[in-house]
Amino acid sequence: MFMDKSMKPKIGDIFVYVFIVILVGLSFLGLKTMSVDKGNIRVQIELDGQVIDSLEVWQDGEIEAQEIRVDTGEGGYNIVKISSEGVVVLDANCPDRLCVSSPTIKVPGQSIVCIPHKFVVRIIGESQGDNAVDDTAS
Amino acid sequence: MRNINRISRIFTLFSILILILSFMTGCISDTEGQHDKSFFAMDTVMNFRVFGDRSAKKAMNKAVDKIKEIEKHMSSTYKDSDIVKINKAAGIEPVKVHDDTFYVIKKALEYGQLSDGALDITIRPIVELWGITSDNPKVPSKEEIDERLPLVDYRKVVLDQDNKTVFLEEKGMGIDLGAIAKGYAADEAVRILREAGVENALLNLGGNVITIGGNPDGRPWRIGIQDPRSQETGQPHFAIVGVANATVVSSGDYERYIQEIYEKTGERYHHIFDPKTGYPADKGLMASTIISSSSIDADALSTILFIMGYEEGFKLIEKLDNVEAIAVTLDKEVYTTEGLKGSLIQSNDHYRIMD
Repeated sequence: MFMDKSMKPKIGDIFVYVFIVILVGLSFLGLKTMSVDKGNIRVQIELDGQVIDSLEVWQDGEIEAQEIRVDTGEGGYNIVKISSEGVVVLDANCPDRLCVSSPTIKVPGQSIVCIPHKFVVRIIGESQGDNAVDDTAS
Repeated sequence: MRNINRISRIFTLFSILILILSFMTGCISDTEGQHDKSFFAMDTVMNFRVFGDRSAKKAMNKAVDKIKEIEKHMSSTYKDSDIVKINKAAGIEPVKVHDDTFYVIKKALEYGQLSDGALDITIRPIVELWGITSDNPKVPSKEEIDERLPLVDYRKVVLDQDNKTVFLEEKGMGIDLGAIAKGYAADEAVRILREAGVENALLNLGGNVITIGGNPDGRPWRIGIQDPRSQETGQPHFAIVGVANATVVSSGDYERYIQEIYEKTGERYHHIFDPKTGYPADKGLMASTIISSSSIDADALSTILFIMGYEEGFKLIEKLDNVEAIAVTLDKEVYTTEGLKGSLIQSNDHYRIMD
C-alpha cells in the first residue's frame, strides 16, 4: 500500500483536484459578479426602506420606455415611467402628490420620494464627470 | 515515495485551506465595505451610508433606533410626544420632558435670541393657520394672522433646568421643532457612529447631509447644493462643495409651497415663515445653505439666514466660528461667506457666483 511505485493518484485525490478546479472557477465567477461595471446604472424602487425592484438601464443607450405601477398597500399606488429621458412619477393617489410634481431624475444619486406612501425611486450607479456628486443637500 | 505522496497531500490540503480562506475573506470584505440603509422617519426619508466592519453596521442600526426615539419625543403629531404634551398644556402648567427634548428646545431658544427672533419655535399657530404641509393649505386673511401673531414669541417659553420642564405662558401657544430636530438627530447619529469607531460615513436626513471623515477613497465628499429652481433648469444642483467631517444643510422656498396657487399665479407661498410678519419669509432669497461641524447649528442657521436675508444673515454668520454659508437671491446670484470663496464649484450656468 504505502510503496505504491506508480504514484497513481487515488480516487480521493482526483475528487480533491476536481473540487479545487470547481472552487477556483466559482471564485472567478464571484469576482465577476461583484465588480460593478462603470456606466452601469440601475433604477431602484423601494417601499418603506426595502428594495422591491431594481432595473438595469444603460447610461448611453436608448432604452425602451416602460411604466411600472407600484402598489404601496391600503389601496395606494405610484406609477413610475422609465425612459431614455429619465425617471418620473406619472401618477399617484397620495394626498400631497409631491412625487408627481417632482422633476425628472436621470443621474445617479437622484431620487423621487413619496413620503405618505413611503415610496422611493432612485437612480443608483457611479456618478461620473465633472459634476459628479456623492450626495445632494436640499 | 511515501514521503512525496504525503507532501503532495499536505500541499493539496493547504491549497484547499487557502481557497476556503479566500472565499471567507471575500464574504467578510463584503460586510466590511459599505453599509447602506434607507428609512422613513421625522416625516422624511433618510439615507445612511456607513463604512466599516460589522460593528459599524451595528452602530448604524443603533443610530437609526436613536433617530426613531428622537422622533417619538419631538414629533408634533405623535400622540404622546413631549411637544404635543407641551402644546396641550400651554397656559396651564409646565410639562416634564425627556432630556433630549429639553436640550433641543434650549438650543432653539438660544438661536431665537441670537437671531433676534428670526428663528422662533413658537411659530406653530401661524404654521397651523396656513397649513402649507397639510392637505388643505390656504392663504389666511390679514386679520387671522394678526390675531395669532401675539402668540408667537420665544421669550414666552419658560424652561426649568432642574426639573426639566417646559411651559408656554399663554393659552393657544404652540411649539414646533421642525426647523431644528433633524439637525439634532444628525448630530446624535454621528456621535453614535463615531463612538463605534466609524471613520467614514455619509448620512442624508431628508436633505440635511452630514459626513464623518471623507470618502474612503481619500477625497473629500462631493456634495451638490440643490438647484432651487431645478424644475425650470432641469439641473439637480447649482454648485458642488467638497467636505469632510462637516454638515451641509439647505433651506429654501422650493421645498414645500402651495402648488395650486403657484401654478395659477406664479406666487410661491412657501413653508418658512417670518415670525415678525406671519407670512412666508420674503427677504429676497430662494435658498440658503450652511456648512459647519454641528448639524443642529446648521439646521437653525440655514432657516435664520433664509428668514433674515443675505445682508443681515451674513452679518450674523460671519461673527460665528467655523460656520460658512451660501445664499441664493431671487435673481439667481450666489453669495458665499469669506471662508468659502473660491472653493465652491459651479455646476450649472443658470446661477452667478458673486465675488
